Amino acid sequence: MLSIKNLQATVQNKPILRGIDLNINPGEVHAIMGPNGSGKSTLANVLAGRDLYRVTEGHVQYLEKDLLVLSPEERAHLGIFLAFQYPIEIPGVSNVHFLKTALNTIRKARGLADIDAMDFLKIIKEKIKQVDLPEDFLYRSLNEGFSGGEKKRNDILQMLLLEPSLVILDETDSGLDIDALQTVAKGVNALRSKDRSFLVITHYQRLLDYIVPDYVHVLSQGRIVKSGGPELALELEAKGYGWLEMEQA
Amino acid sequence: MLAQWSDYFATTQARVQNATLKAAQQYAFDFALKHGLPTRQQEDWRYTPTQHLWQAAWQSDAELENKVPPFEKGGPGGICLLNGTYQPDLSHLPDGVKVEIWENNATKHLASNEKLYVRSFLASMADALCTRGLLVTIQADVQLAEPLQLLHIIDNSAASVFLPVHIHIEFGENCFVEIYEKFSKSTVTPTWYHVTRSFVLQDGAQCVHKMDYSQEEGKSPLAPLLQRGGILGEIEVKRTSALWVTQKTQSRYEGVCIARAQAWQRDEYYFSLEGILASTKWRGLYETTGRGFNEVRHTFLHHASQTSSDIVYKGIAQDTSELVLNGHIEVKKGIEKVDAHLTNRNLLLSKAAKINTKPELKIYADDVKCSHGATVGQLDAEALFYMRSRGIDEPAARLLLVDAFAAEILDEL
Repeated sequence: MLSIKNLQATVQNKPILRGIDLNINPGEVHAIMGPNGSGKSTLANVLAGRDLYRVTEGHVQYLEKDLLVLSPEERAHLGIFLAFQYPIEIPGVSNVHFLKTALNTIRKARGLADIDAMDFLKIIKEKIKQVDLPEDFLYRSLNEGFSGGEKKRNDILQMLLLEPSLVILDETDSGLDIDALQTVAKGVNALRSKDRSFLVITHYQRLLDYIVPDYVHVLSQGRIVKSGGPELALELEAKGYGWLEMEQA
Repeated sequence: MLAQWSDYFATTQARVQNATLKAAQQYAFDFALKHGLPTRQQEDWRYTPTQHLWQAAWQSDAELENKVPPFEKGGPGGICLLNGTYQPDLSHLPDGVKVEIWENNATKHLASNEKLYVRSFLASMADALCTRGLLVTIQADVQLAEPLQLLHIIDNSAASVFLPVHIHIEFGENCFVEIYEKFSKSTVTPTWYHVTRSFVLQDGAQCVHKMDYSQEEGKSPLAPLLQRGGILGEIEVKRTSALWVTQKTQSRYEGVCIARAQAWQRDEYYFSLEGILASTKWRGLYETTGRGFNEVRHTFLHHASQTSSDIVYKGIAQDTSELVLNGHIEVKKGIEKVDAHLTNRNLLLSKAAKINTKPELKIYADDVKCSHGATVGQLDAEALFYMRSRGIDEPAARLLLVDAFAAEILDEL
């Protein structure tokens, strides 16, 4: 489904990713862990197509397509969804209008007709319950004045609505209390299926108690230095990241 | 240069019968002559490209006088002007509203003109050449349930015509009126349309004044007409305006203005708060596109204690267009407890577009609360990426963000 080969990327000419190799098959949940500055968020943003990052080497194939030549919106149309570490506040754009525009654009790209306004309201009111946000959040400006937890819930609401095929969670757990964390995990787990994949990027093992991964990879200095099963996350939690760097040296 | 205007003035005088009006026009013309054509050496005209304005050979509008209105009787309603001429047959006046033409009653509008001329060359020149001013009187205590439409239709096929019009409105004590002023153009030749409005709000009068210069086709009742005459923006239409609002005790003026310029526009707004507890609110959205130019000048003169002004305007410049904004608040000596706040935010949507903005405060009193601020920025790259990552393509995402920027003002309309 997703195949990353020798991916190298820079930010302002500073090398951040130094050769990532990773394969994700349909239905799999992969977790990427690593210390601050190891390149976790860069990987997420490069996959979503943020132009702040420059890819200098390597290939990324997604659903048999060269992902790196596509614009962010084309990637979204293909089914890639990035849950942001810090979702953006956009005053003046109502949440419900944004959600409907996004859904209809993606439907159009998939050859479907625009959704009927009443049907849309019915669906979105159902989905917003799943992320424990009050209905009036639909009519507020997008993320404006939302708490950190509310913004993340709103991102998960977008995910539930758009039903992507690859979800990238970029440190979605940062700054979340335990209730919000459980809501986010509940949303993700509700979407888990045999043809949908997840790339869960996190600094802490805590999130992985709720979203149990099939594979765990450790990123250090822009490379995957160790891969394993869920037990690797527990080991990292117990021993920290220092031993890995020692091992590498 | 001025010879051209002297000829025009002679034509104007020949058409006017009323001696008071003749004298008033002579006064305005002498004022303009004394002042001379504005140049970029003057602070108020520093950013204004005037060459197209003064160099073109503008002609008198005499031959447009008898143009047949493009509507049947019972047209859009309210107060309707065709090429500046009042159309009684097309207008519907609610009870308590009276309209006279200057030829019949040329006295009242003169009251505040000198103050206006001192600040506005355009207003003096336009008054000198204007043959068809209107005097509108709104009786005291009138409360209009429906907005009163003030419709300007410009339908010109004569050569390079300068069309000046002046509308004076007296708002009686404690009246409440909402005025919805719209502009529609269907002209195929270069035209310069100037409108001066002088409003006097007596004690306790309230006026909500909505101005829509955006001329959106399809939404306008004049859509068929617009289609017939061609689309505005491809033709050289220059529009200038001056608004002078005199506010007496406890009067309230609320203005909302939407302007989209593809051609050349200069709008001057003056508010003279002369009675205690008079208040003004202003919301403006000015957008320039193509090679358009728009200059908007706002002047708030606080002459009385406990007066307030609350001013927010936003600018958007695209393509190779240029927007010039000036906001001036003045608090006179010896008055107190004035509240005046001005905010201006601007969005620059292309590298070749230009925005010049200048907020100014002149405070000659101590016990006042005044503030001003202006910013110029671009669309937030983070917000754009956020939207695009949800599948919304770049042009649509940009449009959503521009709409969001404009929403605060548009919602007031």
